[in-house]
Amino acid sequence: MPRPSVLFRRRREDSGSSLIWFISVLALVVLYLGALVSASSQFLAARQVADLTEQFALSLKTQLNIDSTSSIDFLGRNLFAYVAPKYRLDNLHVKSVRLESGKTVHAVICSTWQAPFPGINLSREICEEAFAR
Amino acid sequence: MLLEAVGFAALAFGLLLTFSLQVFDLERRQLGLEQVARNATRYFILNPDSDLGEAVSSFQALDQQFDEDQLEVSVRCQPTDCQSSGTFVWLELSVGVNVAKAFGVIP
Repeated sequence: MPRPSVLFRRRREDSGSSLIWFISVLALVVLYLGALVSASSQFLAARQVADLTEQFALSLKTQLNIDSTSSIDFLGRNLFAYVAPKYRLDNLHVKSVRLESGKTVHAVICSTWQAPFPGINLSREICEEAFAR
Repeated sequence: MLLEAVGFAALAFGLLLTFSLQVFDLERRQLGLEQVARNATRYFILNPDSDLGEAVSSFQALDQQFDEDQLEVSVRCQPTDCQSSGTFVWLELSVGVNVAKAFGVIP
């Protein structure tokens, strides 16, 4: 069996190193895109929870001003039960809602953010608080 | 080898840049739409005699990125009268893939 020439051996080495380089850069690109999309999705989810919490606190305070005989828990439960199904946020729940100094509504609402990639179990709890007086 | 590397880098980073810009543009539009929905709802709650559709158009006009867009507006009130004190107002705006929601109670 004839021995391979020097030129042939060199070509084979070049081809191998090129493939490794290609796969490495491709992996980096995929990781970057995944991180970018995840960060963007998490930021928007947090903004949505913050908006919801602010509007919830403000609406609850308005309802309390109109109907001062009802308890904040009762009104808060009703309002949240009406609003929550309209948002596509996982595990959306009221962590706490209370009246501070008899005047200021303080609400904390949480949700679980899930990575927008099927098969990747990446999640984080997002909690936002709001005050309305 | 060098040609392959340069070609691949140009292609990959070109796609990367395009995709990144699209993601940030989508995010910008989403934040803008939420702002329009929030502002229009708050304006309507403080002025229940006004027209919510007109309020949306006014706030849309302030944001240049929606200049050429036709926003889909959905309003729901509970009870059905959108002007009485204690009425719950729900506003949903959508354009393309972006959807924004806002709500409030008329004082």
